[in-house]
Amino acid sequence: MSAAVLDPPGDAPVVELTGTVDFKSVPELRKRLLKVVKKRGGDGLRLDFRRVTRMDTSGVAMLVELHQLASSRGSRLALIGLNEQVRRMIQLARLDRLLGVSIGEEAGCQ
Amino acid sequence: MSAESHLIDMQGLNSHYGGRQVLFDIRFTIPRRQVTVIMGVSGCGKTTLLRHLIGLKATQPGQVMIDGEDLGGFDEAKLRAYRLKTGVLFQGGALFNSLSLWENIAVPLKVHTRLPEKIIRIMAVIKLGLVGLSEFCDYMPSQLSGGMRKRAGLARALAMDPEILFVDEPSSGLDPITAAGLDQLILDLRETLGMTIIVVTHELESAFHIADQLIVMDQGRVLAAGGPEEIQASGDKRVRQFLNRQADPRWTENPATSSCLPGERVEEGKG
Repeated sequence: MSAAVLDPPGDAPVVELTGTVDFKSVPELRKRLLKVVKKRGGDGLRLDFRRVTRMDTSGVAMLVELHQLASSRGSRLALIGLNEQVRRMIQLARLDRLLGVSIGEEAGCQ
Repeated sequence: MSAESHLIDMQGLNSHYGGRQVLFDIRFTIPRRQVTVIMGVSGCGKTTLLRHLIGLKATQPGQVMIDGEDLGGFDEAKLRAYRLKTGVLFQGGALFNSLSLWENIAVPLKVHTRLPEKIIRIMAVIKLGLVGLSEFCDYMPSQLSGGMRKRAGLARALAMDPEILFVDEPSSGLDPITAAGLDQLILDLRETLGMTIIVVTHELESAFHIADQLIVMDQGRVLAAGGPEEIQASGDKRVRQFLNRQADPRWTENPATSSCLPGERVEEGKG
């Protein structure tokens, strides 16, 4: 798993995730993402999932925590390019509404 | 179906308790990412078979292949790695009574991962939500009904997102609505997570609803194996008796075994 942080000026930071988001990768990934949300405060955070192959429940839990932190700072988490497995994983946990993921939606939420 | 699509290959499993043989030359395959239901009357060897598959009962080399490797040849490290990939729901739920529900689910996550407490807590709530118990996170097992404990046991079996899920009698003791909910969850887990699920049950309706493949056992032997339609169409007398819920003639035809009764035995023709 790798995570590249892109910080376009005047826009919300984007983190491009690559690989598997699971209980092995989440501890380190979570630290990095929490740092970005804390640093950029109300700017929001866009997570680009286009290169993510698979995500387990620990990944969903991490998204919930990031969502809670972003909301507490008046901003939002946007999930981009979810594949079928990731989307269904979020739906199975019944967190699709909380995380703004729609059935059949191509690019996640903004 | 190719050999690669089979996760488990039973190549002639025999099992004993002391000197008594309880499983005889068990042979069948379990496909990946499908639901296999093992059914049969009580005492037919279903649970013993399950105990072999989850590594709780020693298996002789050459009898069971898991993902192409010999279960009987697993050393401790391999057996541990295999168990991490599996989740098990035992008949009684098997919860720790001194821990709350979410703490029960947290146990394997705390032992086997480096996940922080906050993530573990959210994961536990997600798993409890899957079985309709997210509002009972802080309850102790003793505060729950039997059916709720069973559902909590399933949530704990799912804690590590296992690749293989073993479920022993999921519907026993549950009301029809809760049992139907569990059946649907099993199908969702197969569909969403691609889990390979092995269910041991004698609940016919549930078995035919969830199964991609059915194994019918009787007296320690495999009587029939196949898809639901194949099993429904079976002409085997014993399979038909099971499917039609006919009483076992052995119960009604045989007199009480006098050798098991206390008191003096009276030989025939005397007295």
